[in-house]
Amino acid sequence: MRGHPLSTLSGMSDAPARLSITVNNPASVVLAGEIDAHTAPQLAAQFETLPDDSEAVEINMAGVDFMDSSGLRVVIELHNRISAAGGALTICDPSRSVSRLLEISGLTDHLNVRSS
Amino acid sequence: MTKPPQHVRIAKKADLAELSNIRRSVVEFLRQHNAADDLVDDLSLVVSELASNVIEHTDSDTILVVVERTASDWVIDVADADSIPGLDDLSAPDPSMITGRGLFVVQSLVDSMSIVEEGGSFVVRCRRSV
Repeated sequence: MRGHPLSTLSGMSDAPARLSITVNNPASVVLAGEIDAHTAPQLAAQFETLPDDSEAVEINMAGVDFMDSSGLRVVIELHNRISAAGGALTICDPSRSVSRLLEISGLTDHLNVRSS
Repeated sequence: MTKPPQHVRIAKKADLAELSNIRRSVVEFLRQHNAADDLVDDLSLVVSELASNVIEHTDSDTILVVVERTASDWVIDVADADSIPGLDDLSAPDPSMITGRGLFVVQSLVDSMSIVEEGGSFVVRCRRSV
């Protein structure tokens, strides 16, 4: 079944929707838009709904135009939670912005990143 | 052909919902100066990290971001930085740590970062060479 955007968040009235979260199934999440201190709480809330015992969770981040350390915090939280339960989180096709942030933060080797 | 302005001054309500608009204004200014994509990405990230930090810690109703293109540097000022955490210990956090990366990321992307006093308030100032 094709997924659908569960939620979007708009900034000012003149700004387009900024973060789209699509959950295709509990193990596959597609993100698009901008992840910053304003939108990260929405992402964290969505991640909270993912089951702890997921063996493999994939987050596609090809459509993430911007992410700062607020988004990184949420991703690491999920990574730690899934790993503690014996599962694995994979970041798929990170955009240039996401790749740059992971590189600067020294997390490229710590997180499981896969580019197609 | 008209020369682009040498600086942009962005004053916004101190609200995290404004972060996207602040970044857009910075990107527009950088594009006017034909900045490369990598530089635009890096300085957008710097501004977002600093603005988030200031908004989350300030008591002020407004946030002011100024980006200037000098002959040698891009200069980014973010105010009011009275309550920004100290810049003394900005070593890389442990990979599993959830918080504490924002200012480390900024430091990694600029040539210098300092807190200066201007007009009775504090400004966090970053420079990156052109």
